[in-house]
Amino acid sequence: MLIKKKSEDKASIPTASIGDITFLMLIFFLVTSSFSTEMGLQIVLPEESKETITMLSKNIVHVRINKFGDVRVEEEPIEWMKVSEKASEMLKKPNGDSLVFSIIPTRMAKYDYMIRVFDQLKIAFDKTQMKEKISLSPAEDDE
Amino acid sequence: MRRHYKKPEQNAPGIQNTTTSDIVFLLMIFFMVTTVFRQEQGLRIDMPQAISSKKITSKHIAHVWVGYDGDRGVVSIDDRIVPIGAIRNIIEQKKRIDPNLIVSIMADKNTPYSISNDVFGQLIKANALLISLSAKKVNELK
Repeated sequence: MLIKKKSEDKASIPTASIGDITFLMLIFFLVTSSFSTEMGLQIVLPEESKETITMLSKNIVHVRINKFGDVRVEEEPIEWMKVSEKASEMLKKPNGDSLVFSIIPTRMAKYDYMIRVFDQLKIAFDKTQMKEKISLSPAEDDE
Repeated sequence: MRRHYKKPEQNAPGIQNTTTSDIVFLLMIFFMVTTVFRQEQGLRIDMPQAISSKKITSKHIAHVWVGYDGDRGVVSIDDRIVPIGAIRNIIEQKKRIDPNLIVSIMADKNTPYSISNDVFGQLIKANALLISLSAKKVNELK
């Protein structure tokens, strides 16, 4: 009986592509790792000074927010999503560039309500490309 | 006179590429080791959303985390819970070290405004007037 000698191939793993694999991994990690980027609405707070800046009261637009999130622009109730429209309308009027928007939330109003109104006003200023004039007023008492 | 030109040896020029994987591995490990992720835990907050939220390019940032517990404000700076009245001193110190400081306020969206109002008051007293109200960037409001 003839016994066939088993052919013994030398087993080997091709290593040529390891470099490519690691490169791919490197790129994958580079792309997927998200660095925490700071996103936010910038604002400059007023300086603490003894002297008060007098402004024509007709140039100040009061935007009040209560604890339910209801918004009133100059005592006129408005849906918060429409604040940017309303604000850009006001800015486009003659003398609109001297307007200052003052956000006045009540004490129990949520921070979120203030942010979204602030956001709306920023959008209006961005649209009309005017210098931002938004101020945050001290909280009012709830009615 | 006859010159003997020696035929130059022609070895196929080759770059050793067996070590590329090692080099790339080393690079990867180097980057993994050197990248430092900011490890400030802060408070668990639910950030508000805003369309006009912009990226802050400055590196001079101090974080003030504002949360709430009932009507009481909870403020954390550098992973330490501090009373609201102490913000002024802490920020003043930071401002002395870095005059271009921007204070990033990371407040929970359900915080009553009176708390953030007090925080703003403290920042005004500390003369840290450049602030950023942290908000998640969204493209559409719901």
